[in-house]
Amino acid sequence: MSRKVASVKLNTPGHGDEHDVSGMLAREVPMRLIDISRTGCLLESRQRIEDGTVGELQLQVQRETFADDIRVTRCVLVEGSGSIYRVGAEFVQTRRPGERSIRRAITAILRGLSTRGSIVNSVHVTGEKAS
Amino acid sequence: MPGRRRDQRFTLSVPWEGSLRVPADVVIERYGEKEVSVMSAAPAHRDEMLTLDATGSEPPVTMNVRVTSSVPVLVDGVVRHRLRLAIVDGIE
Repeated sequence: MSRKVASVKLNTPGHGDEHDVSGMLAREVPMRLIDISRTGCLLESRQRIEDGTVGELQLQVQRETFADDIRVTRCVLVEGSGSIYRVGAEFVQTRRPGERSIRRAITAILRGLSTRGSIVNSVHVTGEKAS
Repeated sequence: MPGRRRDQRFTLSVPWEGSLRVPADVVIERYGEKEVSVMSAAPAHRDEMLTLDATGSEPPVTMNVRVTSSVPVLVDGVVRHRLRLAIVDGIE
């Protein structure tokens, strides 16, 4: 795999030797979760997100934070909304859901749907097969 | 998109608020006590608040930064962006 950004040697302030310093720059894009399934979700954003973008989705639910990695599959502007985008995403299921996983949280909530029905409103679409 | 859904979808009565953290690899060219200069594949908005993990440094450092400038530059025939970042605070 080719590197998108070439690494360089640099002199670190305060150190006489050379270091190869890479980094990770992260931006936080505010999101709202509109609907969710076992494999993906629909989000709303005021910023456009490129298809294929991978990131960590964090959600605050009743004073708790849940997170999962997602991959954006589509992003479309909501007509007449100004700058609101609907963002379709799939969960990147490369590891077992942790204690704070969104997938795990939604499963738990759906199990207790009869007592916590105010959180999940309705079944939106049912069991169609992928084309 | 009818016909593409495999699983039941559940609409939330009250949308959950949150954020998407989108990371990107950068090369740290230079850093000082108050400012860092990095080379990135993507531009950034001036005054945008970002988080920088200096994963190649020892020990690894995480800091909140604010974009002070974003300038396109040509590196080996490819457009890159040199970002100057003001250090807001160090997280760890």
